[in-house]
Order: sequence, then C-alpha cells, then structure tokens
Amino acid sequence: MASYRSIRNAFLVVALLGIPVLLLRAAAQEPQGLSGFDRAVRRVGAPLEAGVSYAAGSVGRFFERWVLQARLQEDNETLDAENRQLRLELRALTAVEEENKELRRSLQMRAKVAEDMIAAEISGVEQSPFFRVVKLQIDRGAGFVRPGMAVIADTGVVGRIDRADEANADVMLITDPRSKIAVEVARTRAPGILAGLDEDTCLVHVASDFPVQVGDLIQTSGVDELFPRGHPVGQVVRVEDVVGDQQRVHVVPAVRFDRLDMVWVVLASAPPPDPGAEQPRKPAAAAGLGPLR
Amino acid sequence: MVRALIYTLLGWVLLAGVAGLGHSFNLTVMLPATSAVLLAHLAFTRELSLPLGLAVAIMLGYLEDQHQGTPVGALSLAHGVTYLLTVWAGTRIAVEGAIVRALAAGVVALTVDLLTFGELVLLADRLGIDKRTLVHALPQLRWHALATVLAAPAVWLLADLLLGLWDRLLGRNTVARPRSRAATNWYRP
Repeated sequence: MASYRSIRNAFLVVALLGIPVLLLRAAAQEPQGLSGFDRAVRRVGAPLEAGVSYAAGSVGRFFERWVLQARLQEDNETLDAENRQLRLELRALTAVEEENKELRRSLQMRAKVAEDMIAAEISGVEQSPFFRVVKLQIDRGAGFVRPGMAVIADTGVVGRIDRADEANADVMLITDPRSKIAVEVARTRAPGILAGLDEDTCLVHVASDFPVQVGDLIQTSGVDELFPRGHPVGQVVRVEDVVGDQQRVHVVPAVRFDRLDMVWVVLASAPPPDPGAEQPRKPAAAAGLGPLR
Repeated sequence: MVRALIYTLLGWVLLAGVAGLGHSFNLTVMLPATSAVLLAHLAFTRELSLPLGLAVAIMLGYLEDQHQGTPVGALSLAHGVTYLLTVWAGTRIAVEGAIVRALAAGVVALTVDLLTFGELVLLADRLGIDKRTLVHALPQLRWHALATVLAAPAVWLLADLLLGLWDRLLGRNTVARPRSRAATNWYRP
C-alpha cells in the first residue's frame, strides 16, 4: 500500500512539474501569448490587485494625513518656540524703544534747560518709612556731583543730592520730609517753599493774597539758585485755609518716582541773562596785521 | 482540499496586497516574496499531502508569474522544485520558532530566485533576455531574501490563523496540537 502511494505520489509530482515546464516552453516560443486560463487569471488578478491597491491607498492616505498632522504638530511646536523667542525680542525692543523715547525727551529737556547738567541713571531706591531716597549712578563726570545739587527729570523736579561719592549719589526726593525747595504757582507766580509730606504728596505754604485752585501747576521759582526756573514740580490737589495769612496747598509731584530711569543733575546755575543780547554788536577789530589799503 | 484553496487564495491576496502596498506607498525597496513564506509554511508544517502541496506551490508560482510578468511557467516551476527541496529538507531539519521560520522563508525565497535565474539563463536566448542583465540582477536577491525574512513572521502567523480558523469551523482541536506543529503523516512509512 505504501509503495502504491509512493508511486502515485511520484507520478503526480512528475505530472505536476510537467505543467510549468510545458507552460514555460510555450512561453519561450510565444512570450507575449496568453492562454484562456491566463486571461481568466488575469481577469481576476487585475481587479484584486487594483482593489488592494485602492484599499492600501486609502489606508496610506489616512496614515499620510496622520503623519502630516504629526509633522504639522512638530512645525507648530517649532513655530511656537520661534514665536516665544520673537515675543521676547519684541519685548526687549519695546523696552529699548521706551528707553530711546525717554532719552529723546531727556535730550529735549537738555536743550530747554540752560543750566549745566549731567545725566545719571537711577540704580536703586531706598526702602525707608521716613525718608524717600533714590540711588544714582553717574555714568560720566564722576566727582562733579556734590550734596545739595538739584536733580530733575524731563517731567519735573526729582529732588536734591543728599550724599555723593565718586560715581554714586543719593537723591533726596521732593517728597522727603527733609526736602525744601523754592517754588511758585505757575498761574499767579505766588512764591512758596515746597516741603515733603508723605510718600506721594508735598506741601506748600502760599500767602493768602494769591488764591490757589485745585489743578494749579507748581513750578520751580529759581530763587534758591539750585533749580532752573519754571521747571514743573507738581499739581495742586487740595487747598487748606489756615489761620493767618497763609494757605496750605497739597501738591502731587509731577514725576512718577517709581518709573524713573534717568535724571539730570544740575551742576551749575545758568549765567544771568545778557542785557545787551537784543542789541546788535559791532564786531571787534582783529588783532595783528590788517590788509593793505 | 480547502486548505489548499486557503493557501492559494491567501497567496494571491498577499501577492496582490504587497504589490498594491508597494504601489500605494511608492516603495522602491525590494518587496517580500510572500509566496515563498507560504511555500515554507506549506513544506515545514506538512499541512497537505505532497502532490497537493506541490499543486499549491505551482499555483502560487503561476500567480507570481502572472503578477510579476515573468514568462509563464518560470516561477511556477521554480516554486514547484523549491517546494520539493523544502519538503526534503523538512524531513531532516526542524523549523521551530519565529526566527528560524523567518530564516527558512528567506532561504526558500533565495532558492526560488536562484532557480528562476537558472531557468531564465537557460532560456535567455529564446526569451530574448541579455544574460549579463540577469547576472547584474543577482546581487538584488539578497535584498529580496532579507525583505522576505522580515515579512515572514507576519505571513506565517496569518497562515496559521486562517488554517486554525478553518480547523475551528470544522470543530477540530487545534489547542492540543498547535498549528505550527501540526503535521500529516504522509511522509512517514
């Protein structure tokens, strides 16, 4: 039985192997030829391949979209990081722009004020319940700053130098209780002495002959020969009548001390105005040899 | 007989599937020979009798011929001869484990390719093929074998699953005898 099976298998193997041999022989004779069976197989195989291709294409497109989304997410993260960086740069640029504006204002003020001044940068603020002092760092002209010199900003009066060394100085703000500066009411020219009261208020005693109104501007009078005349000091917020011929005026400083970055130290008072400035002057003769006539 | 049909249909679907996937994903790398994996599965698991297995192998080769555009009969004959060689090898070596199966599938793919190469060289003049071109293509066989090795575990598992499913439909116990170890006793005396 076993031998019969072996013989049968051997026969079948040879017969089966004969089929491809015949097919190959036929193909060798006519490479382009297709039998009916070939056509039938192709008829089934082609749509099968096309169907798989379509299905695979759909799956592929899905994954492609998924990959695309992943890429988009990566791009988004990159752009987000870039955006953060740009925002930081923009913030820095805005700060530079603000600084530039302030410098321009300072330069404009420098042009307006006749006194000899030196620029200084605020380097710190003292924290004390009683005294209001800010620290200055003098960039150039170290050694010129002395106690008592006036310190002004483009928006108004800041205070006076309290202590100074080579390149640093303490500024006693006008709100400091020790501060006393000569001022006047801009509208009436009524003089007074401005003294510090509390953190953001100053006090001026003005003669009752000159009525003061809330909203009046207070400016430096220049009487003390420390501050340039006509520089803003603050605005009247409250007026109190006191017994006698005085009125007590509450003033809010024009300068926001918490937003102060750069100030000017007035080194010397402006020279007195030249009385003959308006009249034409005769040019003085040149010394030395003159031209031959 | 149904198992033979399952092998053939699976081989056909895989053949078309791989071609379709290659087209869809614009793959330029060498694609695996899924028929060679099925051939190894067929030979080493001894699911079918020798003549029926040979018929399936030749049918798989024929389908490859049709899809790959080789002269009809070239891959059919190569598949048939490779199947016989694999069956002979299967009586002497045991193929167990995913890695060994994958390697075996790679060797089967390489054998099919070499046999096809031989056939084509023999018929080169008749078919109008330049022999140097055939020789030039020989180094590509290693990539074909490598792709087959990489794809083999999945194809093997798929064949196991389908045949196991068929067994379950018939109510056969496939738990006691794992599909990979299932064997007919046609080769035994």
